[in-house]
Amino acid sequence: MSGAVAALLEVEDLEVGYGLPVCPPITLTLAPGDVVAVVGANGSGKSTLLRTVVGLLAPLGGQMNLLGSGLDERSSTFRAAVASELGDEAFFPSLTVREHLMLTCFGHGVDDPVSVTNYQLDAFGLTERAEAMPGALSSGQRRRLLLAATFARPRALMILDEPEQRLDAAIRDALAGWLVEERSEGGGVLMATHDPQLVTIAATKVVAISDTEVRVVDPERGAAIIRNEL
Amino acid sequence: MSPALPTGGQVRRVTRDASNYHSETKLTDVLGDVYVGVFAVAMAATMVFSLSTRLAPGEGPFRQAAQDGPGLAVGWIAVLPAIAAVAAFVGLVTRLGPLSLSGAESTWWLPLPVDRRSLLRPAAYRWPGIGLVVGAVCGAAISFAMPAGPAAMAGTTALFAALTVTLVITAGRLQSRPTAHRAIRVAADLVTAGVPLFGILMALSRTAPPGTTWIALPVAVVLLVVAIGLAVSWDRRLGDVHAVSLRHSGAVTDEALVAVLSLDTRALGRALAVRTESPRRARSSTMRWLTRVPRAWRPQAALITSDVLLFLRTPRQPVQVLVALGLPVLGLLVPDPGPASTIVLLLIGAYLASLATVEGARRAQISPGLDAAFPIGQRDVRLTRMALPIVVMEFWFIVITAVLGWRFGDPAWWVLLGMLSAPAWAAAAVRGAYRPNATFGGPTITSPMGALPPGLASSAVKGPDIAVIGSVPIVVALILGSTHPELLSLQVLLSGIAVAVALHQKTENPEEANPREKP
Repeated sequence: MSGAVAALLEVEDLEVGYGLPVCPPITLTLAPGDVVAVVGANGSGKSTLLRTVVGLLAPLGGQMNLLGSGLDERSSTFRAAVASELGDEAFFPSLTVREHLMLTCFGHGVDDPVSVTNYQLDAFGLTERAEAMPGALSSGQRRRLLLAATFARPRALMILDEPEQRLDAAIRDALAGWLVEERSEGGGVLMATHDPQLVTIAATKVVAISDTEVRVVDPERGAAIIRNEL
Repeated sequence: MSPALPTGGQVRRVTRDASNYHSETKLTDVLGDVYVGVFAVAMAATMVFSLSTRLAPGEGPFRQAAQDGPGLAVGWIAVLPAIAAVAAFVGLVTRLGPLSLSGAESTWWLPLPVDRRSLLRPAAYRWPGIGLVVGAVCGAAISFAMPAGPAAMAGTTALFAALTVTLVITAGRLQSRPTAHRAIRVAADLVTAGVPLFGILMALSRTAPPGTTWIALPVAVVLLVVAIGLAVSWDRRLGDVHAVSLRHSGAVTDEALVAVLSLDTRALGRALAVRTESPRRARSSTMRWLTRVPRAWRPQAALITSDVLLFLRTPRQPVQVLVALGLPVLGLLVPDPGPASTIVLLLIGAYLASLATVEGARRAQISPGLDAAFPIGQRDVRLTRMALPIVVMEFWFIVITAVLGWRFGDPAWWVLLGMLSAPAWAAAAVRGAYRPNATFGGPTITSPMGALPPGLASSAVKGPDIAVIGSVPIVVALILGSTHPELLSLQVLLSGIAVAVALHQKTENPEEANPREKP
């Protein structure tokens, strides 16, 4: 990555919502090595923010830049750089778990798709289910497959919506470790979460959204905000 | 360094090859399906031709043929449905995209940094291809209704085919411009809705339809060239369509497809209408009138209010009632309306009109909490939800039977018969709205239409079954060309039975609806 690019993602006074803003304007900068956790109560606008950043919702106002240029999900540069998992579940009914991951690797030009696929299957505890069709997977296994596909592909920025949901404790712990690894390798992560442990272990800063304000706080404070919500 | 990326076409092929590898469908299955399909079409065609021969206009068993009625020229009977069919097709295609990707394709293909143009190309040409066939069939129908030589027939057929393709591609080109895209959909809907009214005007003014002529052929060629030019331009811009549009259209298409496969008109209506036209209002109604209702009747009043507001705030529904009224009226404006066409148009019209009145019940079936929120039993809830359909269908039947009476005499008796029929149709609509959803999650039955859940057919006919039975008196009256006191008595009995059946709830027990889900 060029040293000229100081930030992976820059968001300034961004207004998000469905016709009307769902939260106050958001300003944040996500540099390489940052894991930014977005926290807030249900309906505070966390998922809306993520969907806007990945281009599934039009912004109501403000500026967004990815890698120093405008943000357009239609460009291949954007799609090569941004790996997102927003919990939208849909699978090809006639493709196995392994084939879904192979397809992702193939489409992203991964050099050794077989090795990468096997690695992710193992990491997410899906090796035993590698030849299963999606219809035969449990809810948690389907979530693991979606996350495995996100980790299997090259990316500069990862965007995850409550990645801890429906995962068992072991995978949740492992996920926190992988996000730390992502950060140490210079990648960036923007995630919405309700998991204080994930925030404490992996996040470098926290964006806390409430009805009246958007604050950038440190991970410990962010984890405390989540606990108070619960 | 950027990795070597595949093309969108290669991604499609890899997905298709992997899917085919696991597909359980063998060539013999496909041939079997084709055989069953051809056999079914042949059987249907034989029945239609047989019935048409027996019940041709002018040879029907009407005793009292219409006298001095308005005359809708025969040509219009082909031209108007053809125009309506093309407009309805364009409206449908615009609702479904026309460019869309299924949920799985959106999730797994759209994040890939491959060129979207080659990825989307097959999806782009699917609807124009179908439009070509639909347009050609409509054009051919007009050609055969108004034969004027091979050149004129070929020209009319080609003209409608080229026109339909051009409209579909135009809708595709405008998909990334929501305002213009919506304008096409609204225009198509207006044309579809306006056809019956236009037909009535043509009948009253005794205007002849434009004849087919060889000039249609060069016009079709010009239109075809325009369509090709638009297609080339569209192809270059396929990558400009936003992922959100592809996903949304794909979700509507998926839902509509499942609804068609499961013979579920409720779900089809929801897929095509609700998702694209949610009722909107800038402010809430205060509903002060509810405070004037005696406390004991307020739950019923609240339910009726919600149904009425939903009906009035979704403009498509009142319009659907009026368009459905135009269909049989149009059929009665031809010089010599045949009983078969009159009956078919009346049944289709009544079915469409009644469907538009039970959106509240349909939503309550999906979310039972809406009904459970009121302190009255489910039987009372259903009876209450029958109020709006009864009022609307009374209006509908009064108008249509007044026209029947005008054409065949004894208007008072016809109107009385119509008024007695309305509750049966209202009951049928409510019964249909509350029928349980088919469950595709469990074991399925192999059929020529693919894997279907058990009990699908019996579920699909809930509603139409009592509509058919409740229509017997008016159908008999149409065959005879006059009403009789016995028919009125029978109608009272059948409408009562229909209402009683619609209030019956035994079949709504989920365990009975889906016996395999029992522990």
